[in-house]
Amino acid sequence: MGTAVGGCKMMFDSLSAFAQMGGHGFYVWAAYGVTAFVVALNLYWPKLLMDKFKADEEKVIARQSEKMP
Amino acid sequence: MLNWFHRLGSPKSFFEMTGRWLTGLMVCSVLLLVTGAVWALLFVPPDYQQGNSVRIMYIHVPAAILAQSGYVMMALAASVFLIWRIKMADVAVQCIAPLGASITFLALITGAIWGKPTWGTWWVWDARLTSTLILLFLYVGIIALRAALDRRANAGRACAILALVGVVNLPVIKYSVNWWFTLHQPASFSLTEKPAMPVEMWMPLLFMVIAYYFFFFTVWIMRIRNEILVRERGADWVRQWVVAK
Repeated sequence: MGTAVGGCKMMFDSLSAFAQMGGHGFYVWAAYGVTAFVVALNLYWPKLLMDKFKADEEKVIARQSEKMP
Repeated sequence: MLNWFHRLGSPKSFFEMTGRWLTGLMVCSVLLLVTGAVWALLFVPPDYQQGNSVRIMYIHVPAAILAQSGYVMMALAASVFLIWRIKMADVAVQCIAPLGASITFLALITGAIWGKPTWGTWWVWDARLTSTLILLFLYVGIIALRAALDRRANAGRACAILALVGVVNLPVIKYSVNWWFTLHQPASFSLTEKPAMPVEMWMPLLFMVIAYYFFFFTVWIMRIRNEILVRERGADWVRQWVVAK
């Protein structure tokens, strides 16, 4: 079963076999999907907040420099 | 070394030091996680009893390990805050709670998805699963407690105390599989004993655990940096940083 890649053996012959996971496809892909979503959200969320903080502070600084000639 | 820790205790130095590491940490975590996932999905042999559903182990076990070790880290930071009143320790507690909660959620949800084809049920109210659910409630409780209290000093102290009280749950999770009758198998992985699995199965698992740690520390540092900015808003160095960026 499978094709060899760099000394390692791939466990699936075709893309559809890979998707089906021997009948366990739904469970395996659901678990990996949820994990990918939560991991991506964890990495993206703090970045979003930091960008927002920067934008807000830039506005504050710009406003203050307008007031002070 | 002591000087190094001392610098991490100052918000400004922490922000500057971690700013230099952040890109590297992010790239490492993503690369490690993707490599680990490809390894687990494509190259690990199926289990002779569980078939391909065993591939869920490579995301479930690291999440469960991190859920607990994240709590230990939070409790350590909480005790540092209570004993020495170091503000950065409070920031660390505040920033690890949502991350710990999300990882515990992952441990529970991947466990449930793995449980269905393996045990025939999504959920049982047994000791291991229930004590892990309590771990999630502890994380959420700490987030809610902070949100409910107005004064930052009081909120920090209350959260630190709750974090320390919750430590009692950790040995319960760890030994639950030995103390009570449960569906969950005992640990198949430990620091001191030879793994019960063949090398082509435990090697990618160890790899994934390391990848999860990288990811965990990266997100923790990112959140701490944000919180430092919020707490130090208006300080000269923050303004200079905003203008320079």
